[in-house]
Amino acid sequence: MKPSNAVEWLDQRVPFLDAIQAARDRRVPDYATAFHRYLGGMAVILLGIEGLTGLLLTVYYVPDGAGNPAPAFTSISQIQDTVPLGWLVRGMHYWGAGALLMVLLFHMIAVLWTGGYRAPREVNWTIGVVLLLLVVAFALTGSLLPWNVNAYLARTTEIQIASGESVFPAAVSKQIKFLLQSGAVIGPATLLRFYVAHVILLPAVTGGLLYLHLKLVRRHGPAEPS
Amino acid sequence: VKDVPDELPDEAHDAFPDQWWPYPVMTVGALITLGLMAFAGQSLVTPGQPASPGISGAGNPDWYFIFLHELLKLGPPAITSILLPVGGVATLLVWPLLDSMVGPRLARRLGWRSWPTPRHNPITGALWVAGFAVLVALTLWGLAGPGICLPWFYQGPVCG
Repeated sequence: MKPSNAVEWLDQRVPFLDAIQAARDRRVPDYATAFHRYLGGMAVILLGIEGLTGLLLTVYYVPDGAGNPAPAFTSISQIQDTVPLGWLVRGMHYWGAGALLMVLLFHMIAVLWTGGYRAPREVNWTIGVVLLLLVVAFALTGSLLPWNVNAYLARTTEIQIASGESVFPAAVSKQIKFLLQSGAVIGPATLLRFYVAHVILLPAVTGGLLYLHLKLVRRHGPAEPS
Repeated sequence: VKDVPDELPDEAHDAFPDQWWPYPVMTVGALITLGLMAFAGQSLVTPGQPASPGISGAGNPDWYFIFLHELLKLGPPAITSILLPVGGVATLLVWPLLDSMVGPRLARRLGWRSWPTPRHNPITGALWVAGFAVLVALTLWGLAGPGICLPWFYQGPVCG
């Protein structure tokens, strides 16, 4: 099929036709069609859905935890009850996060079980584990954003665990806690900190590592079955 | 940087369309499934009561952290909140190095010809199955609620 003039014009400036042709001409081993080999791709799809629904949620969400009820809480209630299809977007974002974690766990177990981490894929395995941890961080930061009682209390316990409250000296634990929640207790500053991590910091780091992960997956090809 | 591996086995096929078509199907499947879950699970995601800084009590953790909350009940905090979680994550991160360095030596000692992948390795296979089984058991225990109590050597019986 001959590309149109517009496509040719674009390809001369931003070459992409050769890459598409190379992807189409690529040959892969038959064992690459096994079901568990698609779990990584499924995770990328879910990550995309999370990104898209998350972007839509930012249109109405207000990351402000001051007052009672705080705008963060009322904006979530508004998304859920008033905004057209808000319940759908929020629900897909919520359930998608759980599904993403589940799929990533199965992906990791499948790679581990079949030895897909072995040479030359060691570094890519480590990148994959870091990506899993980043998705956990996404879930942790995102689950505080509704700013309701349960999210508040559960995150309080988790920050206590992370700060080593009953293990490290009080000064050390206090510093870790301050770093995580920006104050003596979880408050509006914590919400803002978690929001920035959830929508800027974590997506940037995850995007970069995911690109590297996929590039290495393509470079090494599917691992031979053990 | 090349984008294809050097060697391909004899049994190979074109990536297009065989490796391409599952992705649009999976995308549509995921969108429909999540849409149905959002519809059916609306009552589970209602915001509830607003938070106010300083409130105290115990919140229900999200499912992926239930094991961590349960683990805390089973031993001294230094072990359950720091050593085990950090050790578990560190083991995962460096697992390929451990497997390639320690594994072959152990195989020689055991008189094995090679060090198989966990799927065919009774040592690493059992280790990982036991590890994940503990995580699942702790999660299920937490989900079952405080009604299920077990005798425990550290500070007496513990409840989920």
